[in-house]
Amino acid sequence: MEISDDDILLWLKTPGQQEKGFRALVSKYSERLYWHIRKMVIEHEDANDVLQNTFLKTFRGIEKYKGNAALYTWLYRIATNESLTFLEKLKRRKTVNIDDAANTLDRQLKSEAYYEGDHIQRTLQLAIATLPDKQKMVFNMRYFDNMKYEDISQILQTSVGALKASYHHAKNKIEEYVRHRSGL
Amino acid sequence: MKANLENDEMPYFHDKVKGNPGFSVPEGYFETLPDILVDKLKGELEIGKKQSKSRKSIRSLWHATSKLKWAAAVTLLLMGSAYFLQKDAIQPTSEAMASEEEILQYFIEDAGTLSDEELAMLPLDEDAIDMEIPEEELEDWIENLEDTDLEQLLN
Repeated sequence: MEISDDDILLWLKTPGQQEKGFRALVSKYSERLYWHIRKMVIEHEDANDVLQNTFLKTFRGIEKYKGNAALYTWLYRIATNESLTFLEKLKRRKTVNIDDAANTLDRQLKSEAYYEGDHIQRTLQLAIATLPDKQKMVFNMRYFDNMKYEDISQILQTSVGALKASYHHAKNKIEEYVRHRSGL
Repeated sequence: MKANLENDEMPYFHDKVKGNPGFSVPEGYFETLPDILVDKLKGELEIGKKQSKSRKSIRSLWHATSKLKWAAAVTLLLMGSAYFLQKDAIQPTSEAMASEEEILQYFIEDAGTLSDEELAMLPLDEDAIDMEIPEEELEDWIENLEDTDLEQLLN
C-alpha cells in the first residue's frame, strides 16, 4: 500500500521521524522525478545529481510547504527549477549554440552508457534538443508523461493557453526537424 | 480533452516512442537511492550541527572577550583614580620605589600564585608572546570549547 502524502509530511515535520519521512518521500517520488529531470539533462550522472539536490532542498525547505498545491506539484516545481538552473550553468560553461544542440546531443547520446533508444527515439531526442529549455520542458511533460495542461500549469506557473501554444510550437519545430533530417 | 490529445499527437512517431524516450538507469538505482540520500542528509546534519556549535562558541567567546575588555577598562579607571588621589598624600623617595625589574622579578617568582588581575598588570613584552596561532589549532579549540567552559572561565 502506498504511503499517503499526509503521512510523509507529518513524519518529515516530526523530530525523530524525519528519516522515516524522508525515506518514504524518496521511495515514492524518486522514479517519477528522475525521468522528468533525465529528459531535460540527458545524462544519467547529471540527472542523479539534480535529483539528489531536489530531494535535499525539499527536505531543507519542508517548513515552507503550506499545502496550497499537491506535494508532487511542489516536488515537480523544485525539480524543474533545479533542472533549468543546471542547464543554464551548463550553457554558461560550454556556450552551446542552439544550431549545434542536436549535434552535441548526438555525441552525448553515443557516449552515454544508459541510453538504449533506437533510431526513431534518437531522432526525436535530437529534434527536442533544438527547442528552447522551457518549451522542451512543456513538450516532455505533455508528450512523454501525458500530463494534463492544468497540472503542467500548476508546476510551471504558466497559463494553460500559453502552454498549449508552447506545445504547438514545439510540435511544429520537431516535425520540421524530422522532415528536414529524415526526409519522412 | 480527446480533441486536445488528438491535436497533440505526432504522426511521425509510433506508440513505442510515446512515453519512452529511450533512456535507462543502472541496475538497482532506485532501490539504493533512499540509503544514499539518507547518508548524505545525515552527513549534512552533522556538519550543520558542528557549524552551529562553532558559531555558538564564537559568539560566546566574543561575549566573554567583550566582558573582559569592560572589566579591564574599569580596573584601569579605578587604578588611575586611586593613583591621583594618593599621589599628594604619599610621596615615596626614589630609594623606596621599586624598579621595574624588581617588580617584574617579583611577579616571575610568584607567577604560580598570581591572580588573573595581577597577571593582567604584568608589563607586556610583545616579542615574548607568539601571537601567531595556527588557524587550524584555533578552529579545533573553538570547536571543542564548550559553552560551560567559558562560563567557568568568567566566574
